[in-house]
Amino acid sequence: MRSLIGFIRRNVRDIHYVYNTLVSVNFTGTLLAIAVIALTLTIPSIFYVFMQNFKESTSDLTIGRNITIYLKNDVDSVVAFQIKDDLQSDDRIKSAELITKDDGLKSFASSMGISEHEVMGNAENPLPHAVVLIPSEEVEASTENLDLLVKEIKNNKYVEMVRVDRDWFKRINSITDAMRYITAVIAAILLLSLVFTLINTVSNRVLLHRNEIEVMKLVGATDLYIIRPYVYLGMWLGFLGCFVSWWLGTIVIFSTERYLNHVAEAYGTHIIFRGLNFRELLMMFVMSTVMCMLVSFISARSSINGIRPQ
Amino acid sequence: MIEFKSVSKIYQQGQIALQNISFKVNPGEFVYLTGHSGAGKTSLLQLIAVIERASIGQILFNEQDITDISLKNIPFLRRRIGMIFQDHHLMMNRTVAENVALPLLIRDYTEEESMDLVRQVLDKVGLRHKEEYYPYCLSTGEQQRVGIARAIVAHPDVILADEPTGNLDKGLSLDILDLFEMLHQDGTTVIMASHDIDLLATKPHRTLVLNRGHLVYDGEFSQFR
Ligand SMILES: Nc1ncnc2c1ncn2[C@@H]1O[C@H](COP(=O)(O)OP(=O)(O)OP(=O)(O)O)[C@@H](O)[C@H]1O
Ligand SMILES: [Mg+2]
Repeated sequence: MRSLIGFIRRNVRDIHYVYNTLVSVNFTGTLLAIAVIALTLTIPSIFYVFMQNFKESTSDLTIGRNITIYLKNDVDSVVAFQIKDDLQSDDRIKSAELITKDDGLKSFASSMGISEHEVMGNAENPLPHAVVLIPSEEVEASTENLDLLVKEIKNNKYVEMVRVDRDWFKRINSITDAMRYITAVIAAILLLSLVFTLINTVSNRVLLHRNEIEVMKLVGATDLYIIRPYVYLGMWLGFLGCFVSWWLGTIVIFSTERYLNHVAEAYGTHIIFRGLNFRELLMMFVMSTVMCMLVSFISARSSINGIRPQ
Repeated sequence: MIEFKSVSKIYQQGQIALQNISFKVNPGEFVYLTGHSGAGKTSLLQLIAVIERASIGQILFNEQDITDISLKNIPFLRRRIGMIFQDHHLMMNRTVAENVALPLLIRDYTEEESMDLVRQVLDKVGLRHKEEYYPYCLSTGEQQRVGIARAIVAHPDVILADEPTGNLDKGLSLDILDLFEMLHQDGTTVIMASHDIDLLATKPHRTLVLNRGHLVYDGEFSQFR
């Protein structure tokens, strides 16, 4: 217990020491490393926030996202009801509404501003029964799932024709897919530059302390002991980089909110922006810190191997 | 304690520093290592601390073969050795006290625990009043003594001293020799390399004499003269 407290106290002191000797010296180098880390984190996190908000704000939007099923002409209303009920109980379908041939005729007539009778006279109503479906979010998010659903419905022997109004989500899907892809590419490039910057920062500082490291090796310090300060350096850089990224992201997200809402209004929607929640933020901090510590560890280890006391 | 079995050291550039050296140092012994400049004294000490590796032969430390000791185990070997270097090897950006405390800190002593021990050894080498100084503010002789303090602070099994009195005047040299004598009385093995025959004569011990990499004498100091 005593040794554990001692261990923690020593580490806290070392972290402080590292801040004074490694982080606050060579200020431009430190700043550069922090900037690269911040940038690397900001881009994916902004994209994540955008996606999250976009999903939320469009989930209650139903215009143009329905599938219309026209049943065969000889299907009577009892069967039509049955089909509608079957579809409604499917998880992949959010809601199903039956529009009987009479309903169809009524709405057609009213859209023309005349009575049903005037449209058809005594002739039989030629319209089929129809069912209007709104697919669930999972299905509409993926083109494959939607196609599968449509194909299944088409296979039903009572179904004459299926019309999918998918333009809207096709467009959205392709935009988000492209955004996701571009973000992934940018994130990968940034991640690579982060790793290189960090390796460079750490190995520069190892070289700066070459003399000290030689002495440590001569008096019997283990590699782990020598590496420890550089791992703390990585920890500091990861933490500070994440902190900067958090604020950078917040500024970008909220300044874009206003602009995007302007666009969104044209589609009859309103985007309410939500930043990262506590759990997501914590995860970002942990990930950044741990990753930078790991890269620093590996980099310090390999640079230290090259130092041999004379 | 330390045993060399037909050890040779040939540097990469082809210089032969040591040739076919065999000797044995028992625990608690005080041994001088002497010879002209370039005779191989430093090289011999470096082989014991595995700063350099033997080219041929075998070296034992406490009956354990250290000739091919793994990199992972070197730190633990070095912790049993207090090495005093010909050029002081101090950390210039740390104070005297911090330099001396280093062997303790790497053994996970706390700062408070180590400070007591550091002050004790600084007293022994007469530098207690300069514990807050940086090494570059000290004279060469004082730097040398800081190195000695660092080597003995953690009570190593063996002290390897490479010209520890190289930059000291006669009086201080004798003080340092007395200090080694005291450690030797306490049971520490001491191997001291020096070309200062007159100094060694004041406190005769077993002496190894190197000449161009060959061990030409191993016996009592008096008989060698
Ligand atoms: N790192 C090295 N690389 C190549 N040759 C070396 C190296 N170190 C020492 N030598 C050579 O090995 C020989 C022995 O050198 P060493 O330093 O052991 O002598 P020494 O007895 O300690 O001399 P001095 O009294 O001047 O310190 C010399 O010829 C030297 O040039
Ligand atoms: Mg020498």
